[in-house]
Amino acid sequence: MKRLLHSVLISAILSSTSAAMAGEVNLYTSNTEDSVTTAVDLIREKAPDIKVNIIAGSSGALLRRIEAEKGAPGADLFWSSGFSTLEEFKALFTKYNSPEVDHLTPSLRATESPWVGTNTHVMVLMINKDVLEDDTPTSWQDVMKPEWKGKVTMADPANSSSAYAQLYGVYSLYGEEGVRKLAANVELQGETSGAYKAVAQGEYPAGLTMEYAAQRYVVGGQRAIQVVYPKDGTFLSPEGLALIANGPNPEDAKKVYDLFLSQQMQAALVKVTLRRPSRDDVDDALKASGLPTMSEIKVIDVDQNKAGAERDKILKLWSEARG
Amino acid sequence: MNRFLPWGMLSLVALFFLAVFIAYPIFGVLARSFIGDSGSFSVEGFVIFLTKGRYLEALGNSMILGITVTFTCTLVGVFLAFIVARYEIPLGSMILLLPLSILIIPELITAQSWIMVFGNDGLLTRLFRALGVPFPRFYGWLGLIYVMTLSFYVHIFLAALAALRSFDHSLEEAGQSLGTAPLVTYFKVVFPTIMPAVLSAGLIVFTLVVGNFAISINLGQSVPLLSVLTYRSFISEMGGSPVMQSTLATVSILLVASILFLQKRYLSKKDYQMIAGRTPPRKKLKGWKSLLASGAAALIIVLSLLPAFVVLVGSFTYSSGPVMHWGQFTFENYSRIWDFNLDVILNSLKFASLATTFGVSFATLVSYLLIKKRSSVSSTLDYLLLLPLTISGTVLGIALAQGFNSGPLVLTGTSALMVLAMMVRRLPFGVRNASSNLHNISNSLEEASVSLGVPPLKTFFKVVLPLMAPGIAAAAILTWVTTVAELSAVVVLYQAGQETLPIQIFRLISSDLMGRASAFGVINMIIIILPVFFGIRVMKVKLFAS
Repeated sequence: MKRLLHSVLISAILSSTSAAMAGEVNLYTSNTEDSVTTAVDLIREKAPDIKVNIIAGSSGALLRRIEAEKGAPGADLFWSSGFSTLEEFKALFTKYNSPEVDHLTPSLRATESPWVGTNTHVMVLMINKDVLEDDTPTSWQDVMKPEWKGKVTMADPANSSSAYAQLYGVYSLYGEEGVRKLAANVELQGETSGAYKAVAQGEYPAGLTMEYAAQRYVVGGQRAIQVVYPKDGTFLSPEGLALIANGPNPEDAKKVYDLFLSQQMQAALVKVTLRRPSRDDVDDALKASGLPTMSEIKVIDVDQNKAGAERDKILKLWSEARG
Repeated sequence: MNRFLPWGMLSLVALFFLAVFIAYPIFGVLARSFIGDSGSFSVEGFVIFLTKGRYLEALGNSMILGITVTFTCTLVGVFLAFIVARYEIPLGSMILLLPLSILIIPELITAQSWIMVFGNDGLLTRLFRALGVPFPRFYGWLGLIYVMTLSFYVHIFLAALAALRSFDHSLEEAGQSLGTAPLVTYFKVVFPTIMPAVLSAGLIVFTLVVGNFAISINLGQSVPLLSVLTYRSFISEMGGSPVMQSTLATVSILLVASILFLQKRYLSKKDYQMIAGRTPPRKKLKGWKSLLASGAAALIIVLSLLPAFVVLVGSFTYSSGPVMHWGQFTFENYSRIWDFNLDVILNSLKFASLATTFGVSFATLVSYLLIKKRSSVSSTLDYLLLLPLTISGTVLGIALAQGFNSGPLVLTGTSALMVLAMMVRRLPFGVRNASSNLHNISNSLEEASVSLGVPPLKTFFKVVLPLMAPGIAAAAILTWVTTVAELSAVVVLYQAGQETLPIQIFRLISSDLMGRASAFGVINMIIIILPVFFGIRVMKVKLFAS
């Protein structure tokens, strides 16, 4: 009830003062409403003279909308989508060298591209100890052993970009042989969410999924769920923020862009989303969310452009191996 | 000339509307399934369907599921109808509220609540786990059959109940007086006569199962089904193939159309006419028989109503991300809606009221034209109105999205197309309801008015419309109820900012956020139930007249 009153008050104040505000920024975002609210609250605090207008939707729909509006862009910023998806819409964005970029993990800086990493997915093994009969697997190789046949699940790489990132990671570590072994063992789910839900439900003792998706259950209090960062190395799938070319409010948009990369913003967002921030100085926030710091994880460098270019080849190999 | 205005012209307008918004998109899908990537005629899509991937498996699974659920629904529905029609059991009158209760609980919410009971970290799943009792996996065949049976048996129950009530008891007495045992009489005399009604309801159930989206996508993760594959081919993260979208949609249209054809062929031959049936008296059961009969009936009722209850409790349950903490209560799920999602509720109200207003107005006009003012275009109108029945919501959505994404009329991505989809999908039912008491309105009333010098249109508004009112009210309520719960067609059409309650619930279930999905579910049910309650209590509308 208190929150309710609070929000009524805020909206009343906002509507009475909006006329006096100096700047506006139009933000197109595919992020969940709670992360958007966290971000907007912080921007309001740090840059009270900027009003952020939110258009929310799925990234595909929003990117196509930005493309359609190319002649007269309505958006200033797009937040966020995987680097490989952004690559397809490269022409819509313009490069901005934010002073904050120096504080990011080098592989997430995207110095060559007109966007910047805000956070990254980390591919993990999600374990449900309630139904685990064997030892806890500690590596990709463990779940590729014959005794794991039928006990491990993942989303269909043909439908899910994160599942493709997992498959490509395994391919870059273990080559075609690895793809075949994985294909022989896993049972597929139709969509990304199917994999972590099936493990949480106890249908499978192990699943390939993203760090944040598995960690949600741990933080939520489902004690049987454990997140394993494979010791043979894990893969990142970074997501980026981009400044729209010829957007209506470039100067204010750059201020908001800097804020998205600020330490305070990234620390606040990881708490809400459990998605790993791109900055390398947010260890305290990571620990508070129960996540290991970047230095505690072994990361295998995967070339995102190459992963995209080889997609057809890898998926063909995959479907042949699946039989 | 005088005969043409206004009714002839209105018939043509109606025909034009149906041709553009029903026939054109549906035939467009059929045609596109025969066009290859190169743009010329090709059966490539069907070759892929028959030889590659899991398409054939999905078709087989959909058929198996359809047959199984039709069978289980028949068992449950006929059993319950029989108990209600023949025996005096406690709560007998409550059972007659069943159709209503199932109507106000959208399939999506039924699926959701059973997931909260048996699914991930569900109430009973936890209990079984704590007791160490192995519980079969609910996602998959078990869950699909269970939830679909509970969602669809009411169709068979209503049909069987109506048939049993009109059954002439003297036939049964004749059988028994000739020395046949009661049970054998049931099987030899009673069941064959209610068969046509049950079978035709059964075929409706079959088409509902095959076209079902909400339950299939939430519970059929590991079972490939035609409806889900069709949806995914359209919504793929990676951009689907247009040929496969049309091919899958075409296969599903052909499947349902052939079922409807079978229904017409087979059932028109087997029709028993009851002449002024004498309804059999209801017996009082005693002892264990009474316990068994009323117990089984009560179980079915409880299972039908439980979803609403679970969702209600779930909406007040504290949840931390995907994990529900049953027993800890909070208003947080609702305050979040207040803070962030009021527009979802507004969208639902806006789209559904527009679709209901346009749909019912159109249905009223068309039913009047079809029954009272038949002309040379009437039979074409009849057939066009059958078309929405042959396609599932998803296929209709895809047909509209593909049909209006280019050309002179571009609607894809607009709210107008969402409203149109909701309206078109329910049109056949709207027309049926609106025309329910039109047959009883004598032509002479209208003729009298016209001969006294009142123009035809004014006569329609002053004389005919007031007499049609009860049917129109029922049509409006039923259209409202189904459009507020509409998911399968609009889920392929909506854009950012056009989310409705069912779409939001669907998205939250997909992310395993059941607490928040429940709060939306409760709001969805309230929006559905208010007009129904108002209509029945205040306006005395009879919903199940026909």
